[in-house]
Amino acid sequence: MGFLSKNAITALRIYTQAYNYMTKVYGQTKNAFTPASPYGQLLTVLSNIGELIFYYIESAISELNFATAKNVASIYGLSRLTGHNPTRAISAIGKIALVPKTDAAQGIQGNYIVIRDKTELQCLDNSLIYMIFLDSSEKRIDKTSQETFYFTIKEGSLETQSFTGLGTSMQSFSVITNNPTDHFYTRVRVNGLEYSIYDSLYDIGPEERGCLVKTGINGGIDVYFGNGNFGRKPPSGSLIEVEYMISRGPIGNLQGNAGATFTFITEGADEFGNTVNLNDAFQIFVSLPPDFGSAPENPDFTRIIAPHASKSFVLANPDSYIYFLKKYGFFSFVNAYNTKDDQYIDDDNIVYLVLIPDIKAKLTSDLDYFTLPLDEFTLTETEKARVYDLLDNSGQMLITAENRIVDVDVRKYAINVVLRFFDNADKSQIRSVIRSRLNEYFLNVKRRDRVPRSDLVSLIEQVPGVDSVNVFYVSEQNETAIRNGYYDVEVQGYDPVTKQKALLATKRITLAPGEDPGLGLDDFGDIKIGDDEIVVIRGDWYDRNNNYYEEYPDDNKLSSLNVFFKESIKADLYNQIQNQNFEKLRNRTLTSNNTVVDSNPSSVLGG
Amino acid sequence: MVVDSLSEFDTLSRNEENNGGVSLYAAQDSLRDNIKWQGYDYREKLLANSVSPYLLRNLKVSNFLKYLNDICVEYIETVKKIRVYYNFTVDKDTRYIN
Repeated sequence: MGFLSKNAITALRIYTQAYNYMTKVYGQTKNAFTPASPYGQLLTVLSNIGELIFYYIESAISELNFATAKNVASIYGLSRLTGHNPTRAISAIGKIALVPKTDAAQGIQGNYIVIRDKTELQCLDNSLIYMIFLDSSEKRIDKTSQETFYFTIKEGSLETQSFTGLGTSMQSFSVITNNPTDHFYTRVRVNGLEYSIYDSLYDIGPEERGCLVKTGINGGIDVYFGNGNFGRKPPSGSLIEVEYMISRGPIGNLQGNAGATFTFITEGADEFGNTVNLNDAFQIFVSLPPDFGSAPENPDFTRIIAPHASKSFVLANPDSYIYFLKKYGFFSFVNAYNTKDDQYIDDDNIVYLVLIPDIKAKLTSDLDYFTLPLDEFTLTETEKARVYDLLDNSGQMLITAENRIVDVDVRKYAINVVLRFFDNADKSQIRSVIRSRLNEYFLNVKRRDRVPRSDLVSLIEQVPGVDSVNVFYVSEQNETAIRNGYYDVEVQGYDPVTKQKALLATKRITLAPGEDPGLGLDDFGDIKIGDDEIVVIRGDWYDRNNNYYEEYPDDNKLSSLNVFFKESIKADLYNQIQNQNFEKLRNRTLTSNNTVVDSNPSSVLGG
Repeated sequence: MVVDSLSEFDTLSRNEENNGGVSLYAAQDSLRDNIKWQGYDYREKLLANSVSPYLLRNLKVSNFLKYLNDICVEYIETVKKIRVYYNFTVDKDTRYIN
């Protein structure tokens, strides 16, 4: 292949060089050997396939490098080599209540109605399939009963693939899937016998029917069997069935919609095995709207967390709790701590968890950050119960360990934006763009220490029509203290009865006339966020001058987001050119910023 | 009767007529497999789908393309080996990793 240049391999170059070579060697005139001739066409096709092959090679190689891989499956696969098991999707779980219809008994033979395990329902609100999971193969319900029967439902549909046992030690199989699968639901059967799923090979007893299920190296899931001493080897020629659940993750969440409508897809049966349309037999009510569904782990997060994967599979210290909970993607912030460094030893086995839900997952098209209901910023009691269940069911907690989810305080702030603007700009347009940019900022930037004014200034000064901007935060806590003339400081201690951190007393600090304690703000005027606090831009309170701040942004009243147009300047040619010069200068600064972000483990785990 | 002038080279073919190059021992390890999502099987039709059907009317060209097809498929399969070698959960000769 000496006629091919290896400097830049493209289809066109391969074609041209091969064409020149062939016309030269075989003495073909260019009239006879053209792209339209049979061999000309073949040459075109082969040069294109050749380029594709080079592309595949380059892609395959770059996908083997953790830093350069782009495919999500590749990133997950490479992280598996570190021991990290990336979280696949998590299906939403809820509860439905079935009430037998009064006239149901008439058309059904026998005494009872049978609902089988894995009965499928469809939610008419989102068209997704949900499944009833039972502890046994079926549930029999007296057809004349007037009781309410509760069933757990899980979003998703089942799929099975099968493999052939080899009879050797440490068999492994790669199950390729075309959609995200549920992280928790996988069943493995060998010749029809179910195998338990373990986290580590060393947990499986000798000849025990057990296996490992992990996120796949090439996408999907991988199944590993033992060597006889740790887990039974599937015999040669045995049928290995892997059943998994295709999940739509957060799309399955019904966002508290208890009025959602479900309909049965799978039929039930009567006492004699005749099919029964369950929709004719039961009324379906939503008892607990499906929730807690989440998308597969963010690959950017996988890249950072993988080197810090715990190999112990034990929730032993706060870091392991953070690692465990962060993988699930329910929370925008996870922190865990214990109080071993104080003198009170009775609560040293308690791991305190600070969990802030990911509000982006709760937004609907008619809501933005500024109008999202306040209770969505914190965990509800149901959500807390589910976190405790998640930890219990993981089987990874130490026997003596306890958890407490800390109730975070919601701190309300208002933002006052003062502008100088170009006189040809549309004020309502400026307001609208500012709100949109701040909405994106607060949804995506989740700092846990400060909300700098300079961040907002930087965003707002790029809004078309804005010449100069200043931003001020107003803290509800601070304004209330000034109005009252005092504020209370909580003195925390430990309650020996509940063995929990508890409020022992409050100390009242009286303010002198005109004194501003600056509560919730630092010396820069930036918002300061306490350990157990979350910050929300929200009104519904009075400031020191008895001005009422409306709960949601309002253009005509003082509210949680206020834009004041203080003065205008002429949009003449000189000002516009200077503005353009500044934009060029800033863009050059931005594009030349190649700083590598430090990914030290403590900052990563902390948030 | 149409005589295929390339028939004496049939043993060179690696397509299904000659068992696709898969050994019988390897085949018994996948007897009970029911594996989904393996992607489109382009192996028999890579070139046939890329060139004008007019070319395939000519028996000589058509037979020649079969050999050419096998070579191109082999090149592509060789690239897949990179992914298969890196995936320690599957046999090095597996064909179902895309």
